[in-house]
Amino acid sequence: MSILDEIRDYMVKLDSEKVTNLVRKAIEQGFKPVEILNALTEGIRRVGDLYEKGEYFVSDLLMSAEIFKEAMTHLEPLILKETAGETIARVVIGTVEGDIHDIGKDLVITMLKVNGFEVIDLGVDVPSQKFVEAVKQYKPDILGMSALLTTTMWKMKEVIDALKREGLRDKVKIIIGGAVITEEFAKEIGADAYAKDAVDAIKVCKKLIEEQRKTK
Amino acid sequence: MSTIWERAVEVALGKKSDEIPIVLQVYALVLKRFARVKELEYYRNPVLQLQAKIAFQKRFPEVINIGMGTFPEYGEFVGPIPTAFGGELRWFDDQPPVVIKYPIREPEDVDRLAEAGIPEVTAGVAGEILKRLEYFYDWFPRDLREEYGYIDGAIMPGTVVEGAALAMGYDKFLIWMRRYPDVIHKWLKLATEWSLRYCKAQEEIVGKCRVMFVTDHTPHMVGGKLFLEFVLPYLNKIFRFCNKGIRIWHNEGRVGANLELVDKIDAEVWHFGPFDDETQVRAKTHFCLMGNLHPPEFAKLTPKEIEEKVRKLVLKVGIGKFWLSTGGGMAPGTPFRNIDALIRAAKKLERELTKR
Repeated sequence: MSILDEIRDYMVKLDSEKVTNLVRKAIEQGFKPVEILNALTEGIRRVGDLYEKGEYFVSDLLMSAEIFKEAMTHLEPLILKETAGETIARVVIGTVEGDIHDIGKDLVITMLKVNGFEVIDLGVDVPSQKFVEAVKQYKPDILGMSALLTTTMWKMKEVIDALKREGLRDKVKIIIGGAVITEEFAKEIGADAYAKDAVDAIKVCKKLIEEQRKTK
Repeated sequence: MSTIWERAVEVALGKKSDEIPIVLQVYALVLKRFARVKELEYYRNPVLQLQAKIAFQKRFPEVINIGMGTFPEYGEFVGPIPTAFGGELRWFDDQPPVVIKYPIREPEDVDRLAEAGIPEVTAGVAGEILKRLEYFYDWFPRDLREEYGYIDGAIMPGTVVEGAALAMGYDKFLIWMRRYPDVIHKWLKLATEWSLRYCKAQEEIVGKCRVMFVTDHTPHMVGGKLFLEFVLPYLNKIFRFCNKGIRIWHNEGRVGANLELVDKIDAEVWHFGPFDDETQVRAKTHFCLMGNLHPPEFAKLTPKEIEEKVRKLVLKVGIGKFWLSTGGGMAPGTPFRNIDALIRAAKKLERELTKR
């Protein structure tokens, strides 16, 4: 079994020590950072599949995100060095007001950066008006919003409605995500897209940018 | 002649199977409509809450409104444990409060809390809730208490293991189970002990526990060994406080592979959601099932569609050890004619299935 397969499999087993050690070893052995990233990403994707089947739980998803974050402390500098200057698009992202969970958002940010996106992180507990101001200031291609709680998810609609009122809605693509978010909810509130996890978020963001460039 | 509550209990215990008790959880999100106020005003006004709860009951005499439905509402769901230990809630104009400041940020904070000792039961929002419980005890009408099992002996600890999680954020709590298991155990012991004292304080107002309603979603967040180690023992400690009463566990999240494990939860009723197959839940667990019409869907269906859904559900789950409900608290914006449709459908099925 190759070291990349081991990285993937230990990610699925949620063994953080093994994953980190193997990532360091793979770097030393000269594997390309993007290959190592792909192995980690594949591991996370399989964790997501097990979650969809009901065999893994939210705690397992969070642990895989934590392991990924730790592994990325070794990889991210190398990947960013390789992709320096190449930006696909600009993303502004934050967790909505009243919600201070950030682990999912931070995972998406890491994945976006290593996939060539420029990311502005507004943090957590972001008031709706601050999202609007960030869209005005940074003119992002994509606005990403995260919420973990059913009590805070409706803040996303507040942001979308505020953007409409300010005539900004059609200037930005909106993607939403979080444990309580669904595709139906995204459609209901007028978001452009929903991502079920960080891996999906990258695919969705790339697709949004592609569509945006076709219409320009 | 037995009361609606007594008959519901008999159905829950499997002693009666010719009735479909209708047991809902209708609270702030819907009841604020009574006085056409925003949620914050509803939370601030215990007199209004009492009036709204009584009015809902009078409107729907066939329904038992359990849990938060007839308990004072003031952050009672998320607030007790986090705020007792120094956390803070943020209150919004028209939505439920959330925990915005965690008392636990680093593992050392648990040591600090342990050294400080168990807080008073009146610490945080619990103090205000207990005052309002006294008020409800004084003023909730005798006939409703007797007919529906409200107030007297009705205990609500709020969230338990989940409350402990909310004191540091779910993500930290779930990751620390693996990273710092001793810290989590230490914290859960503190939180559970406080919660037991809070239950005792409620008993001093409303009398010996006859019915306990516990909201806890951690069984769908944590699987296998972690569930058995970090969730089950603490949850059961709280449920055993009321071991001579009827205990309802509320969790509408999908438990999936945990189904055989949640069967070990020491409760008689599971208020479950639409994400686990009803036949599997029935086969693999001992509970009287309460549910499980999806609340946002229930709010949008026509009365005719509701009657069809209810029929399909009851024929699948079977009559007996089943309380008809939504799979979670009733969604804001649910038209009352939909509740009328639910009641009609249940009564029609009762007659049909028991040939009355």
